[in-house]
This record gives sequence, structure tokens and C-alpha cells, in this order.
Amino acid sequence: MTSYFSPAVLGLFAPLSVIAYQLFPRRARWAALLGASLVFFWALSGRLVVFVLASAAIVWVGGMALGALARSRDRALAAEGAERRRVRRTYQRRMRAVLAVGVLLNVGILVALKYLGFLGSVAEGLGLGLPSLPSIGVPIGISFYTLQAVSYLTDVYRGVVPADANPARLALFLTFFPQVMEGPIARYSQTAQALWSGRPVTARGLFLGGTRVLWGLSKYLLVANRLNSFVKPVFADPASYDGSVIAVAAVLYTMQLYCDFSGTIDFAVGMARVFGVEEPENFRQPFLSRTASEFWQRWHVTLGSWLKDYVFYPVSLSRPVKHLTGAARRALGVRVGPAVASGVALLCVWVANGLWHGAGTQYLLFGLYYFVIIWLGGIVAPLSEGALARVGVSRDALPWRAFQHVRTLLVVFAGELLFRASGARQGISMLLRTVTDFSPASFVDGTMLGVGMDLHDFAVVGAFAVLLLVVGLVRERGSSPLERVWERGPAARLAIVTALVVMAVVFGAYGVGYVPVDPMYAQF
Amino acid sequence: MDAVKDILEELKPGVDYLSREDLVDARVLDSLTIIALVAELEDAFDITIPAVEIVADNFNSLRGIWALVERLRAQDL
Amino acid sequence: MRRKLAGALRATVAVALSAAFMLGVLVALSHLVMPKNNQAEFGQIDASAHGVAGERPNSIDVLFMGDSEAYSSFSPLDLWHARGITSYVVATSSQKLPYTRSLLAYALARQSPRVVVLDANCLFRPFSPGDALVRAAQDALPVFEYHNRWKSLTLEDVVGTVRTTWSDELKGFHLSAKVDPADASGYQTPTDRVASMPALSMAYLHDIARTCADRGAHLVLVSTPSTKNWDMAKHNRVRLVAEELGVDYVDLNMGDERVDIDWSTDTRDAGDHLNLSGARKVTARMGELLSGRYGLEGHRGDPAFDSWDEAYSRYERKVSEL
Repeated sequence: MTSYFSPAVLGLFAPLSVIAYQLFPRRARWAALLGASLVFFWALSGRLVVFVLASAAIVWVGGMALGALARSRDRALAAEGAERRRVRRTYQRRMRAVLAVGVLLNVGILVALKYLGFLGSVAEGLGLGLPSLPSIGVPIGISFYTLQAVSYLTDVYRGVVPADANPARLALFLTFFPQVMEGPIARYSQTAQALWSGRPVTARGLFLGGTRVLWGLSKYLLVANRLNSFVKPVFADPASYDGSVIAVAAVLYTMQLYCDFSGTIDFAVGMARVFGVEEPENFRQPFLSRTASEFWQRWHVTLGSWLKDYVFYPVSLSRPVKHLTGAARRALGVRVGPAVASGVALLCVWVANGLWHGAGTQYLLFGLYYFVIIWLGGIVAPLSEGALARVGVSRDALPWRAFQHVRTLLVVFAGELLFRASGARQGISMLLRTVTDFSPASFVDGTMLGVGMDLHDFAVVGAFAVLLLVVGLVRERGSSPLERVWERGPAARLAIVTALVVMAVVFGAYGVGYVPVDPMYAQF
Repeated sequence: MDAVKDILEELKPGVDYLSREDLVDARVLDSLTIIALVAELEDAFDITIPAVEIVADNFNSLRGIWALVERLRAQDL
Repeated sequence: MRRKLAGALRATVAVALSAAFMLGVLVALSHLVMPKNNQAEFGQIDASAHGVAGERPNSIDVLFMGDSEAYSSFSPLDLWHARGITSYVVATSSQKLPYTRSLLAYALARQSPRVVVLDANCLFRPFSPGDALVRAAQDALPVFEYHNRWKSLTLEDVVGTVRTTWSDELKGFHLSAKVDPADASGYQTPTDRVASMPALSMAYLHDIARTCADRGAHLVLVSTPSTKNWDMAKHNRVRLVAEELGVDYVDLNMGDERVDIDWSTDTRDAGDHLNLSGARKVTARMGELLSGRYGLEGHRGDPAFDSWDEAYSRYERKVSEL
């Protein structure tokens, strides 16, 4: 698996595609982007590119059918003396059928390519022998572009976006190379038209996009790659390490995952910006969250919001769940009742979230872990706020906030430990050992330095963590550091570009002695 | 509109619902609150709010919520 | 129009100045992190190969290049003892052709060999355009290769100059007397198959051949004996390649030039690499070829090369202590 942060992509493919894009006449620039994206897809997945093209074709046809139905519905509604209710219901039934077919086809391809092996092994575990199918491999980014395809079709059904008659634009929306590997999961309304419009490359776009890519590269090279030499051995053989090392590995893995994933997103957002396209952000300072639920509104934002719009609300507002909500409300009150009833929809969301990451028990466990925490959190929140109010402590009092931050971080670290472990059983045993086998001595007797990172390595990671925190706090205030640098003029721009290059080149963990880490989310 | 405001006050007190235009964007109304709100609105106004209508535009302001209610009431006639 | 032109000009100048500034910073950093001597203790990567620069200028007759096959198969001090020919093994494990090309340039900066022997195994080691790009960047700006030395910088790294005074005492040869017999049953099974060699590799090999020709050195492709790494398909390919380049090809695995390897005693890891006993057989055959075909006469008796006799005695002592 190659990363966006490989010399071939950074040094050859990305610059060449920008040059080709700019050289094309404006009206044909979409072709340069689509061509580059298909070449990229082909380079990583070869003939499996037919699957993404199939998805594009399915949503194209499905979208056109939905559009036609909506138009004839509106005509029928406008007619004199129409029985509006009946017309609505008839068309809703037809459109729902089209949507269902389109979604099932897309999800069916995803399941067939990615999950059949897992389902087969589950069936085998239950004593059911299934005929084994030939494995044809998994196309790059299928988990990401399938969600985009489904959201487009649903949005057309909902009337949020008009049906697109242009199959090439839909193909570009699904395959756009900077985001195809690890997202962000964009909505049609966010990127499709901009991708098509062929905006010229500008100095400002190059600066803001380029520095964003360099910032992502720094996260990847300085932190994600470096932490591999600690994280990998510990998770490969946890029995050889004590609880303190495992606890540190959980923290470092969380940081590694963040730097790898958000760094890759920085590449996607930065490259898109060079092409004049604004991608949705996927991270909003997740480690500043006060609750687990807030964490998921800040981490992998586009997945969370996708699940909210296309799983949580539809399930919550389906007839049986509405009845349940109503009953719970009468029994438990207007605040706790709906929170309890939301368990059904939340369970769907978190099972989907877990399994979306991959076919493995640890991912299912990871999803259920957050389901329990967030569901209970929703029920308890009104109660604990009431209790706080009674003892006269403000929700925003510093000690309470600090407690919430620390609690959320611990929840996140434990969650990522379960996520990274090989299988649910190993994850649980590792988690227990961070408590039962915790030895403070390991922090001073050199055990930590014996795993694979020396003091210099820890110093770089620590310094970068501070930098990340500072940048995070600035962004939390709604300000964009890079845009501020741009405003300050050429000298400041040159200084920041040089600083980023020097940081990545000198302090990056690459070359002799380092094994580059595989892009983690690309395998999901 | 006052009825809607009362419902909001009960679900999430201490917010100036008359002036805010970013209830969803600023996460004043999280998804749980929205579900509770939908249930209350359906009860109070005898309407059905489908998932299609759960978009930020409809819930960002008191006025938006009221417009949604009015529209759905008209549609059902 | 004129305003527009002036704007474009200003932008071009600004970009050029910025690029120059950035390049300057990287050049300065490169000097900072460069090992200040070509020795492992100074942080030199692949020191034994780079030791060729520590030999007296223009004192080396033959360069042996390639991957681990090369440094396990050619013993310069045995070659010296037998024929008075001076040689050095500029080989690194898993060497790919871009690195071969860089190391050749590095060696030719201080030496003018008459023959460059390239072990053909590394022709088949695949590399991507990205690998080639990285190598080029590392050659131009060593900070890309030696950046990790920030961990061990000293004052000398700031003020000192880069020297190359160190040389490997075995002239790049990796000595091993270990024996792990090979199963040679499928060795050199005849086939008409021709192993493939990517166009990019071919381009690098062309460039290497051109460099040798420019410097008046014979390039000789040699396949050293190995049951694991060598087969007829590769032989067939290298024969075609040598013809195309107009260089010599010597296959020590087969035909008239075959070296009589005893696979139960002459390999250290079951046919992957040769050990000392195998290397001595290969080196003896190479000596015959170098004297016979390429007319190398050697420097025995020349007081300027006394150090080679001393090196040989140390080598002998080392071998007897194994």
C-alpha cells in the first residue's frame, strides 16, 4: 500500500497533475482531474477500477430515475383537483424503491468485496459451510466512495440536490484522487460542482494548499512513522511488555493514528484547495473534547455526520422507533425518555461505524464500546447536570471541565487500544493489564526507552505534540494560522514554507532505520 | 411560535432562542435533542416530520422550526 | 499589458529567489549533517563501500560493484596476493541500480579503474520512479539521507570539513567462513524463458555503461554463483542486455567460465551467498580473466603498494583465526 506521502506521489504525481490541470483549457480541466484520478486508482488497484466506475454508473442511473419521478410528481401535484396525499404516497413508494435498489447495489458491492470473507468465517463458526468465492481483492477507498455514492443518491431522493445528468461529474466526485484513499467523505453538494468548474490554480491556493500538505507530511513523518517503532512491537507481542508500556502504547497509538489519518486528510484538503475545491474538514481538534459524544463530532467528522444523516435520523424517525420514543417519553420524561429510546438508532450507528472500519471482532467491539458510553452518556447527562446545579457548580467550572477532559481522553485511549489490538479478546486482556500490571518503575528504569524509541525520539514527539496543541487552540478560536501567514506577505510565507520543509526533512522519521507506516485508514 | 419556544425551553433551558440562527451549527441542538424535539413537535402539532426534513436549515433558528411546522401542517391538509 | 508583464516578472523573480533561499538552507543543512569522515563511527551509511574513497587516489585497478552477492564473492586481498591487482568492493546489501550509479560516481571521483565488474543480480532488483527520485535527491542534498544525524551532532559537524580518510581493511569484502550446505538439485535447470528487466532499470544500466566508457573503464557484467539468486532465465536476459550495451558478460554459474563450487562447503546460507571458500574460487577465476582478457599486470614489487602486502598479512591472520 502506498501512501500519499511517498516520493512518487509528492515528487511526481501530484505536481504533474497540477501542471496538467492548469495547462488544460478551463472547460476541459475536469478531464485532467478525472484522468489523473483514474490513473491513480489504476496504479493502486488495477482492474478493480471497474467497481468505482460501476458505482458511478449506478448512482447516475438511479439519480436520473429519481429526478424524473420527482418531476412527474410535481406535475401531478400541480394539476387541478389532484388528491395530493395519494399522489405523494404513490410517488414516495416508487422513489423509495429506486433508492433502495441503488443503495443495495452499492452496499452490495462493498459487502461482496470486503466482508464476504468475514461473513464466511462467522458462518463457519456457526457450523454452516458456505461455498467459498474467489477473492478478487478490494478496490482502494471503497468504504469511502461507497458512502459518497449512497449519500448522493439519498440526497437526490430527499430533494437536497438535483439529479446530475452528467456521469463524468459523478465519476469525478467519487474518484477524486486526493480524497479517494482516506476521505474526507464529501457530499455531492460540497465538492461535485467545484471539481467540475476547473478554477485556475492561484498563488494563494498553491500556498495555502501546499503548506497544508507540508503540515500533513510533518505529522506523518515526524510522529506517525516514528511512533511505529514503539507501537508496532508492543501490539505485536503484548505479553512481553508490562501494563505501563501497554498504557503508553495506547496513548502513542492514538497519537499515531491521529497524525497518520489527519495528516492524510491535510493532503486531501490541501491538494483539493490547489485545484480550487473546498473539501469538508474531517477533524476539529478532537482531543479538546469534553465528552465521548463530542469527540465523535470532532474526529472523523465526515463519517460521523454521514452516519447521523443517513442512519441515525432515518432509524430514529422510522415508525416503530417513533412509537418507542413516544412511550419512553411518557414513562421517563421529555429528556431522559428520548435519550433511552435513542439506543436503537445509536446501536445501528455504532455497529455500522465499527464494521465500516473492517471485518473483525475488534472493530465490532470498538463500535459497541462507544455505543455503550455514548448511550449512557446521553441518559446520564441531564441527571448529572441537575446534580451539578443542585450543589451549585457551574457546568463550565474549571475543575468539572478538567475532569471531563481527562475522562474523555482516557475513554479515547482505551477505545483506540481495543481498535488496534488483534482481535477483541487480545484487546480486552491488554486493557485489563494496563491496570493489573501497571508498574510505575518502568517509567524510570529505562524500560520505556528499550521498546524502540530513544530519548531523542520521545523529545521530537513531545515537542510536536505541543505544537499540535498550540495550532489546535488557535484553530479552536476560529482562526486559520496559514491564512494569517498569507496575509502577512512574501517574507512570512517563505519563512513558514522553509520552516515546514526543514521540519519534515530533518526531523522526519524516514530513511535508514525506519519503516514507513502503511496509511491506516486506507485499509478500512 | 411561542409553543415551539416553550418546547425548546423545556428540552434545553438557558438559550436565547429568539435571536440565535445557529442552533445546529453551534451544536446547541445535538442529535438527541433534535429527536426529542421532533417527538414533541409531532405531538403538539399533529404532524409527521420525515428524516428528509432533518437538515440544518430547518433547525438553526426558532423561525426555521416554525416554518417547518407550518409547511408540514399545510401539506397534510 | 506592460503592467501585467511587470507583475509576472516580479512573481517569477520572487519564486526564483524563494527557491534559491530554500535550496541554500538545504545545502547548509546537508553540510551540517554530512558525516565528517567516511566511517561508520562518524555516521557514514554503508561505510565499507564508501571506504573506496579512503584509498590512495587512482590506486585501484578494478571496482567490484553490486549487492550482497558481490561483497560475499569477490575478495580483493586474495586477488592482490595472487596477481598484484588492486581492487575494491563497492557493494551494499539489496543494492538497486540508482544507488549503483551514485556509488560509481562516488568511486570515480577518486579512482580511475580499468575494469568495473558489476554483479548482474542487482539488475533484477525492481525499483520505482519514486526510489530513483529519492536517490537523486539524496545525492544532490545529503540532508535527505543523513537527516537522522541531528541526534548526534557535535561542534565538529558545524565547523569541520568532510574528509574521506578511512578505508575498509578487507577492501569491502565481507568475510564469513560459515558453512550451510545448499540443495543444488534445481540449480541451473535449462530454460528458454527470459527474465524481465524493466525499462527504467535498462535506462540506468545504459547510463552506468556510458559513464564507464567515458572514463576508459571496461564494464563487465558478472553473475556470481548462487543457487537461490541465479537461474537460466536471468542468464538469458543478461546475455541479451550485454549484447545491446556492447559489454562483456561472464556467467560463473555455467559454461566455460563456470566456477567449480562445491555446494556442500562453499556457501554460508544454503546457496544464497558464498563463504570464504567459495569467494576464493570466484576470485581466482576473476584473476585469470582480469589478467588474461583485460591485460591487467598488477603492481607487485612496487613500493607504492607496500600497504597492500601489509593488509594481506592482516587478512591472512584474520582468516587463520576464524
